Amino acid sequence: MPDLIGEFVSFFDQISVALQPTLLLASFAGALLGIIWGSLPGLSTTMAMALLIGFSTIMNLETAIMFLLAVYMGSTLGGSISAIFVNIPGTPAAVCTGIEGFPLAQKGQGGLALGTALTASFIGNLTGLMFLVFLFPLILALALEIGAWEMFLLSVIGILLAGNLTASGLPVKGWISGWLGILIAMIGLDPVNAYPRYTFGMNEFYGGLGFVPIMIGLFGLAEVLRVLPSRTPYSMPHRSGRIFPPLRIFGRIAKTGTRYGIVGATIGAIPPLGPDVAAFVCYGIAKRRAKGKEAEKFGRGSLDGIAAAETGNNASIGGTLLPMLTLGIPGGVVAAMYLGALNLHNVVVGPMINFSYPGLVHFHYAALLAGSISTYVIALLIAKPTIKLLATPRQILMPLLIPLCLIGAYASDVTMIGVYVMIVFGIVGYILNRVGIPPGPLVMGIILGPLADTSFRRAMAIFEGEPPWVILTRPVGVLLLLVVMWIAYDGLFRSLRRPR
Amino acid sequence: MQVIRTDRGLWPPVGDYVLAGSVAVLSIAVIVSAVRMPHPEGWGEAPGLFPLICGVGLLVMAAILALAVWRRPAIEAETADGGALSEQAEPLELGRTLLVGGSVVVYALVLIPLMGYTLATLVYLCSVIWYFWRGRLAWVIVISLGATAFLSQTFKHAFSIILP
Repeated sequence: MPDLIGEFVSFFDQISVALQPTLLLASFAGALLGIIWGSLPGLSTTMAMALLIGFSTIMNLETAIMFLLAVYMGSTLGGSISAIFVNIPGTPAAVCTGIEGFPLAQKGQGGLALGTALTASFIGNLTGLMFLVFLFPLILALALEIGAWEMFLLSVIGILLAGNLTASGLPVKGWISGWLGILIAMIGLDPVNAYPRYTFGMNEFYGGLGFVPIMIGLFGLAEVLRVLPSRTPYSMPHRSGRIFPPLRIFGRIAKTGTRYGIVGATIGAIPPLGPDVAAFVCYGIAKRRAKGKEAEKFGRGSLDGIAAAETGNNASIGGTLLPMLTLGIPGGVVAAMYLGALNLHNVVVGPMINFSYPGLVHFHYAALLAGSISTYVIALLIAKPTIKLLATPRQILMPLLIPLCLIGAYASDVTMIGVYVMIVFGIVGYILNRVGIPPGPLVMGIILGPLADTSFRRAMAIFEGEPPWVILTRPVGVLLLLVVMWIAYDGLFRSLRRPR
Repeated sequence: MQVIRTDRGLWPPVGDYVLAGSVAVLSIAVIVSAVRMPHPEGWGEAPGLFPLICGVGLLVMAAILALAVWRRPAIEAETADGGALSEQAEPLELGRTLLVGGSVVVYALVLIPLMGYTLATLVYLCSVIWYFWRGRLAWVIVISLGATAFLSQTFKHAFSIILP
């Protein structure tokens, strides 16, 4: 039976660590950067994390965790600002917020819509944190029972599911993306025999391709290549009104937030759903449940719709960390990047995390709590200036990102190889986008590829000399195998069906 | 010809056929190279085992993609029945996209080795912002100068990164 009281005691111990001035400063700086970044159209949370994980290596582990989690929360929240005021979601998770917030902004109630979004995000973050604190010991206890074969199946589930969910029309395109990610992860020395695979005789590739330049290319440069040439303009409403919601609305948001926070956190815990799907699902449920006058408001400016979507996407942040910390399987693309950042600090998460890094999980809880508070405070303070920043033409903003992408890729190993890798993957990311291949599964493939490879070969070594049906004697393995088959069937069915 | 974006990809699906073909070629290359990797103690722990499985998987996926695209009915009928299913695809600004891509390549491969990060960034930003924004040249220079100074000083001093 998991020791919940012990969990809370350790959590409170780590809060005192997180309250150190330098760590708090890192959290506030991350929140500030994240909110501004997420609010600018075209600059996503994934892009922010891709650029910053490399720089986080110059920080110590605790500072990096505080900073990156605050960036994650801040940019997820910041996405709602541009969604409400210019109807361009800063992040995909803010699409539903834009549907309800933009009509309100046009009526001069953009401030109220934004205040609702900010408060709902705060409640969502806290709900996600509680979800993580309560479920972590339970999932960890289950994870300790998992062997190499089950880890391999979990990795395959993560990649296949990413494909099914991100390429909704043709899931096979998502699978191709995931498999390409696995192939990219294989570049370098084979972890078992130290045999060079796909290095093309270049010594620079023996350590594999850098994760940071690939991410910056796929999500930074590719986005600039897509957005900068576009001629579609955007305009802003002139008045925003009061930001902090009145007490009556605050109570309503708290009620909605608690309900949809649990849904959002649960969705976040299922790899690789993450904030985007959580926002859509929570918004969808809120819309279906709405009755009378509130139902009529949906699509024309519903505060309940904004609250449901924002609580859902922010609560999923805590949820995405649950499978990542317990199993080493990230709950979404941004969580995959965050996992990459932990790896850069030589931290390998998974079932043994509490033995290998005592206190690290509870420090994550404290960092999430500090991040929630700093994000809310900073957001309320800088909301109005950030709205003004939205008027920056993208023809100025996008070119400024190129030197940033370049230096980010260069800083990962202080050679120009990283820059060349970033440019190649920028072009690859642009082409993938044009042909409708989502980059999300590719990231999952890169992160989970080595785990799948080593787990599979370890399982083969364990099963050596046994009959093939030995895999059917492991109950968890059989269950996971059935899940793999179901996901494959679902994806295949949706790929091959004729549209009605 | 008008290009339409649906939830299943672009129509006409020429790109999807090219994609399926490219993935098939890539997967065959992966399979061949995996088979050529050494496996002295059998395939159980051979370095080529997982690439081989991935290559076969990719080949199957390429076939599924080709089949899925081939089974799609004429998109005109689909859009006539349900307009919500599709929208006109974002126009491909090929010339401007190539210009952005080309400018990045020139910036990284020519300007930086020639002038160093700071000067190259200033030249790059001035040219690209001026071309795309078409604002007053003085503002273009001020913005580029400010951004270059901020980036180079921040990374040099705050992050202690030796600039390229």
